[in-house]
Amino acid sequence: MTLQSSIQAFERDLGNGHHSLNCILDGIHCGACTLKIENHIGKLAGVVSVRANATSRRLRLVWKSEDVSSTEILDEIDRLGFSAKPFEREDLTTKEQSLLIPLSIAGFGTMNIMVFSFAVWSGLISDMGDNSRQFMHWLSAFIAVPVIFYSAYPFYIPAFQTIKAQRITMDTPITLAIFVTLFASLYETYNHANHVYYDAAVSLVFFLLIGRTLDQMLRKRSSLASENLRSLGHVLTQRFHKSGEIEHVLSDQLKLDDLIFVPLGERVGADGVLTSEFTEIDESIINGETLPRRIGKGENIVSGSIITGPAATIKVTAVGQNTRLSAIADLVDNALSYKGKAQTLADKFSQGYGPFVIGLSLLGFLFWYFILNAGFANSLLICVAVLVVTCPCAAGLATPAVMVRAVNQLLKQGVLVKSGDALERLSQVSLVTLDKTGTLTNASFELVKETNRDALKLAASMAAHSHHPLSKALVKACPTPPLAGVKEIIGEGLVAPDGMRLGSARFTGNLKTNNNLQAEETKPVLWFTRPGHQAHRFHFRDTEKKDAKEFVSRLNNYSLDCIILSGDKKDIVSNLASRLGITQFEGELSPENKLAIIKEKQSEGAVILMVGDGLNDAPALSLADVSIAPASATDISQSSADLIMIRSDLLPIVTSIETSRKATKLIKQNLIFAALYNIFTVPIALAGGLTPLIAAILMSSSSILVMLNAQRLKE
Amino acid sequence: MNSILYLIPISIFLGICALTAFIWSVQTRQYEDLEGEKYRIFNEDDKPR
Repeated sequence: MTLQSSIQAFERDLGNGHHSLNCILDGIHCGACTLKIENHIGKLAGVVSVRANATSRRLRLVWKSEDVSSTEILDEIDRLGFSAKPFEREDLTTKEQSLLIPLSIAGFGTMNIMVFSFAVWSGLISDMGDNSRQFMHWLSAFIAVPVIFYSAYPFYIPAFQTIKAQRITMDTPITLAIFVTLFASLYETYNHANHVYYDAAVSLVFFLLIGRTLDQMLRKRSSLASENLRSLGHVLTQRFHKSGEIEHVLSDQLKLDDLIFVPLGERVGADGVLTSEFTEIDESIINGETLPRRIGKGENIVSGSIITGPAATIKVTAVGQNTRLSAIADLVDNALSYKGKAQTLADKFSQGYGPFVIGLSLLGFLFWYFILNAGFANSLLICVAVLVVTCPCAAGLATPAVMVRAVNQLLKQGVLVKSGDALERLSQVSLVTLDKTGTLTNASFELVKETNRDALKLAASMAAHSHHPLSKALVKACPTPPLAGVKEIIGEGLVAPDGMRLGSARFTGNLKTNNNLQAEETKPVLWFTRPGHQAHRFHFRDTEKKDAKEFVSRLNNYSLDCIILSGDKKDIVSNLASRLGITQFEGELSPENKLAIIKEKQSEGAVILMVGDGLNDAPALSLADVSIAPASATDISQSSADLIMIRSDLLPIVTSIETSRKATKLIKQNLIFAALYNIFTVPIALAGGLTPLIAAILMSSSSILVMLNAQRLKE
Repeated sequence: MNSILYLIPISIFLGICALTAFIWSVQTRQYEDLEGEKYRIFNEDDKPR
């Protein structure tokens, strides 16, 4: 159910009675899902346009407000089995300018200049006249100058900025090489010389842009999930004004001790204490548990939970930065910044490499000009040859070339790789830690073998009226048509006209002592009473995934240990562990406990892969050396995990480890090759054995070799 | 030899045409959602609403 008031704040008036709304889509698994939404919603009267993006899981709606309301549209989306949450920002996708346009222009320039260069090269051996050659050179210059000034901006703008800040990055020698080559060529062209190097300059830009574009695409994909997450704690909330009226405010404007009113189906925007009698809350975003929890007056509610019972009145105890949701997000952030160390090492290396390359080429120039008296033009060419040949293209491509292939292969297997260096870390894993609910199990319930068919049939016919996970499990065990006249009391249970009751122990009058209350409510149990019969209890258990056993045995084949870390009851965990053949397990763990165990194992030298889906796993997912979350996971877990499984089976995890090991091997080969290439070519260039053109060919072919080596990564 | 004086500009012009078409496709965001587009071809409705 969607409330009109909570959406209106996010709507945008386009004039002419047209309104637009951006949403985040939940439950999207592939492009077919977005197509389903577009087809159905597009047919609604009054809908002007509907465009769903399967990559970013966003939806943009435009409609005529006189014919249809946003509520009706969103309810219709709910009916299709998806959910659309209003999203505040108009457009986030254009934040970073795509490199595709400079890339295409550089590609165009490279191809055309190559045509002229080829004519000139073949002309050198045969009989091209001076004038024709000159014509070709000017044509090349005519293309190269605008192309370089436009499409090399991703390199020279940051390079100039860092020079202003008195630093040198990888962009500095690249910029120098590009412009020295360009200006040297212009100088040579002006002086009617035989050799120009426009092709070298432009193709340099082209190849480097390919690397940058691939890098940008990877980063864009990984930032989407966190953007979607950030908007989650941001809901429109109904607050009781002092006068007793209800006003609508955004959750970040709430203050301590405010009283807020949250109707059925809405998300709570702040931490608080329940002041109404009782309700039921869905905390799946916090802990991944699918079973709604019943809470009474005075109990705590965490921001981000959804009210699934009677409408709640809540006294706010923490807002914004101070909420539990935000505290867990901070844990994630801390762990993420800790991860950054491998990256900073790479940056430091390139900071040292840049000045080294520039110094080396300058040294080459001075040596040839002053000591060997080679003349200005020749010395400059040697200097350029060094700059070009040392261009860390092969080294720069060594990783992304393999990575992109590995990432795409894993995508076909149903695994999304979010961070580029995750694969490398995955290949070194020595210990696999697993969450239970939703990871090893299906997070749906199954009726434990039931002998009383009579009671089961009656109960199932009542349960058919409810969407409660346990009711669904009951109907699945015994499909029956719904019984007429059954009423659902939300948060309590079901009652039939003839007095039959199905629901919690309290609801059915089977609660013996108050002490048992807590224990009874956490167990997956349904009570069934009917007049003239003894009360009957249905037991449920969550089911392990079909391939869980094979998954564990294949991990053992790779001599990887696994350990279950679960927030669930110890006996349930040990039961599952023995069924799957896992010897190590821990139950009843808080998020902090999970973190502590992972830290302890890491200090013992283990490289840890964490697989988990609940919000209580999010800190552990971030701290673990590498982490995988299933697609069913909560947004926050997805955003802190390195890899996301689109399908619910477990075997892709093993495939990912295999692929990562192969990929890492190829990356190592590539890096060794790139290092060898520089060790051999730099002295030759310094000795004057390379013209900039040959240097550019060597540089390009080293890149191509690295790319070809990456192709060896097969399934 | 004179033929290249007009053949080369023509070839560059044709190249620029193709380049313009590509830039247009980028700017109209046809590369924003590579995942969804392949399913959209199954849509009978030719005009996206």
